[in-house]
Amino acid sequence: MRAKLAVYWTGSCGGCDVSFLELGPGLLDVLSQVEIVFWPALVDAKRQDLERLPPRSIDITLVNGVLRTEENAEMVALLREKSRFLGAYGACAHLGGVPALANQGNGILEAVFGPGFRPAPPFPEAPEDTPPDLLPEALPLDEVVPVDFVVPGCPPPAGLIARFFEAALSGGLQPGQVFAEEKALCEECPRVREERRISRVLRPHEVLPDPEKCLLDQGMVCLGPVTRGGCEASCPKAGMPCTGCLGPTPKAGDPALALLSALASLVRAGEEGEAAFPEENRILDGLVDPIGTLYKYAFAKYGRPLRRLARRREEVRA
Amino acid sequence: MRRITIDPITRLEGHGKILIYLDEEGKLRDAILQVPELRGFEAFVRGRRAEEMPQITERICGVCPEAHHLASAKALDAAFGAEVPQPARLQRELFYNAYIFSDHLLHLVFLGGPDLLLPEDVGKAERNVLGVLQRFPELGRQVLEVRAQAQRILALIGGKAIHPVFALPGGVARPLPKEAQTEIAAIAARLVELGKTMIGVFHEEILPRPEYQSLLLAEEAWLPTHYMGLVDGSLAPNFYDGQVRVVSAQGEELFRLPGDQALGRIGEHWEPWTYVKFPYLRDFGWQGLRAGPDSGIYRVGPLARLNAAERMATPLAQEEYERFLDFFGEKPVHATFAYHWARLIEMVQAAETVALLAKDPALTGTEVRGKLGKPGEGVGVVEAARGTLFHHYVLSPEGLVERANLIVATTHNAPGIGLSVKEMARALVEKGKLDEALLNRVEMAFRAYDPCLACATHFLPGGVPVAVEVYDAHGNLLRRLEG
Amino acid sequence: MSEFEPKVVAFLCRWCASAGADLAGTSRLPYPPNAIPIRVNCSGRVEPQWVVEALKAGADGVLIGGCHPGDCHYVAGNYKTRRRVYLLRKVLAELGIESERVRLEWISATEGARFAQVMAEFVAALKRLGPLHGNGGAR
Ligand code: SF4
Ligand code: SF4
Ligand code: SF4
Ligand code: FES
Repeated sequence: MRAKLAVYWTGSCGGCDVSFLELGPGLLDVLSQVEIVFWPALVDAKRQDLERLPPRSIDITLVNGVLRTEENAEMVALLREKSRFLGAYGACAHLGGVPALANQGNGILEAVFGPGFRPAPPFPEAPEDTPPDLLPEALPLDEVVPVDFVVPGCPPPAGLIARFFEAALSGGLQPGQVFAEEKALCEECPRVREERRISRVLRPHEVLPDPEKCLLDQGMVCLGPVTRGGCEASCPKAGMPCTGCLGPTPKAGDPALALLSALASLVRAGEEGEAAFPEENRILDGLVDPIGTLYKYAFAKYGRPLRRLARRREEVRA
Repeated sequence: MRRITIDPITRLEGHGKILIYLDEEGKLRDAILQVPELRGFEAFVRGRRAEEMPQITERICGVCPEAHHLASAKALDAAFGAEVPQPARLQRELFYNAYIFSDHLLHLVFLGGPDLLLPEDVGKAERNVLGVLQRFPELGRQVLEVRAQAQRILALIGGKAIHPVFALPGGVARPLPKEAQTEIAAIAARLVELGKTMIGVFHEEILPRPEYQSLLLAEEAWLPTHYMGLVDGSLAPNFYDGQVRVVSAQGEELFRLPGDQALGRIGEHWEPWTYVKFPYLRDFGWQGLRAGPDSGIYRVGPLARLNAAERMATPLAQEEYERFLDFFGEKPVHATFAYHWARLIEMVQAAETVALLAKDPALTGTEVRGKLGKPGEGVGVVEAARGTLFHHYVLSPEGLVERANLIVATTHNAPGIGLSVKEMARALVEKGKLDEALLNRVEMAFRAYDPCLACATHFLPGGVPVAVEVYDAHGNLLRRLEG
Repeated sequence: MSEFEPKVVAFLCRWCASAGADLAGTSRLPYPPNAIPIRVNCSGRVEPQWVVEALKAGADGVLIGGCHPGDCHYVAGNYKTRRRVYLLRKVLAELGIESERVRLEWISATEGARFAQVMAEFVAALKRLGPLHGNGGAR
């Protein structure tokens, strides 16, 4: 019997949906082994159709995108109930992803439309057609429902998608599985890493890096040491630092704090000691926008708890 | 008031909804396109590193990340006052044409394909890409293979095909390795071949069919608007660079300006019932949601670009362009369903351009970073597959983003899509019966624009998940039709 | 409502700051009892993740006590920690958390009085900042 598959997006860019095409002709093999029971983009699957399904009748559900609206949250709860296995597909569902950087600030509506914008229906007689409310925070999937497995990446690289389908279609899906390496990206990066001391923090546009040497050794903030392998180090190979889309290794935990720690170990301004402090600080100041840099995909998962504390206090004061 | 909702249609920068309202007599009161989602990129990019913008803004859309990536890089070039050296420019331009090819191919075969390639009597269950693959197994496999190779070009240059990482202010991340150029050149020949094959299929299998011709000429799918597109010095479309040319609904040039000045001619209107903004030409002002020569509404995308241009840039594309003009006999072409044909012509130009650039010895040149000045303000514009894309940034002296405003292709087209849907709805309501063929036409009117993210969504089995619900004046569900 | 009593987690290097704290105790120096001391081998062992965990778990402030420059038993542990704290405070500020809630101090084994003074200052500063966890500290 063919595995019953569902795919759903919440606040997504669509990259996760198209990423299946990166399998090329191999996609045809996958399609011949599954039955797509729900995929709003592909089959006319309205919410009622999903509601009618018996609980746990979908074998595998993949959700991509961040949870951004009330409706997103309701839909994933419904999918959870109907699915045997439910997985986070892509960095947004896994960690919040880039759109969850919005959690750092406030006032999205105002910023986009100028003060005064309030959602309203097209006609007063149709109040149900008011655009839906946004959740106060953008959330990763596992903040709302239990998640059985993760296919990480922004979007997941073809090799990991293939690995996932291999496991899923042979019935080998294990709860808790993350379809990427436990080891850090550096292990698969062809650049030579010597853990050199860093005497300046460089931004990618400020220098043309040496093609063979580790980018971190050259002073660029590369998240390779704290990020899971699995993409064959696409970004460092192309001359750009890893920004962490596969998520942190189990060892790293909070990727921003882990990398910050590594960076602090590497930075030197000549002989260590009190005399070097001001110069060290100056070098460290080269790390601008630490949130966007170190939490690019993982802010909702790791940075948000503290941000939430701070925000609550801001609200109390206001 | 009766209310018809088409929900979900497919996403436009998020989830899209079509709402149709009828008055007590059953006449059309209004039909609107609502975008009920917002991720607020303009707000949360503030304070981010400028050089990260190509990688952040591409997450707006995973179907055309390449377009955001390079519009962003060009805005940064301008903001840093940088000249992009030739090798870097070539990398970007080749990459960009490979993207246009790949994206158009995706739409032609996976999205529009089922509508165009399959006879009208094919049932809904087979009206999908699998149906196409069954009927045209040879072509289908070729398309999957060649598209994967076009994606390979994107990865070779961009680091990753979806969400590339290579563009930086003033240039690109690194010189392109020589082996990469050899591989790209080999692939390029296959792109052109497939382009020729597709033209053949179009003229043998699609165009001769009477039902397709009637679609092309259908009155309710004829929308006179102005058109916008980037053109090069000889007024041929250029996807990566050039001046923004706008021609009126009557075909006269309204303006031809560099991106930053063109941006000043566009106003943005918003309505509280949707999260998408409505752009319009300031010269005309916001006249409400209606088409015509004195309205400010314009369209973008393949058809708009062909209308805004006077010729194509490459020989095969030019040949096909002439056939296209002969068929319609007038310009601008206002037929919404001509978007598909225009897409095919552009796909061929993109393939020919890739082949041309792949031969350029400067492609692997090592000078890939222009000198950067002090960060300031900049506008970048490219032609995304679905239309003109503007990025406008103001940077702080530290090179952080202070302000950003983006006008994306589907936003330009939001009024046009809304109007096309409204015209279709009017026809639908007038005919009085909501049968499947009519419904499919609403779907197709929508799909002709290839709304951003539509590709992301219905590239596999099945049509656009359209459902129309008809309510009576009291909100009771009268009928439900599924597409 | 009773006065807000900040909770402090203090990571103290066993060679210096921890010994300093002990000295403050045995010398019966008065200092606020708000700290939960955690002894570590070297201030260089304190991971930023621990500091953040402490804040998330209910602390209003975190003190890291290390040896004076030049005195670290592991040569440079305290320098590394100084740089970590410098970056961590930047990150906290970006999150909207006052960077003063994380404090790094050099306290030698003989500086019992200094430890008492640091604690007093820190607790006073945290009182001014108010509770991090927004319930008035009435736990
Ligand atoms: S994980 Fe990346 S590709 Fe997937 S939806 Fe999010 S931004 Fe798009
Ligand atoms: S470039 Fe990045 S991924 Fe590669 S070895 Fe260095 S730190 Fe690791
Ligand atoms: S190098 Fe890093 S950012 Fe790039 S694809 Fe791999 S994990 Fe993602
Ligand atoms: S041993 Fe005290 S700080 Fe290192």
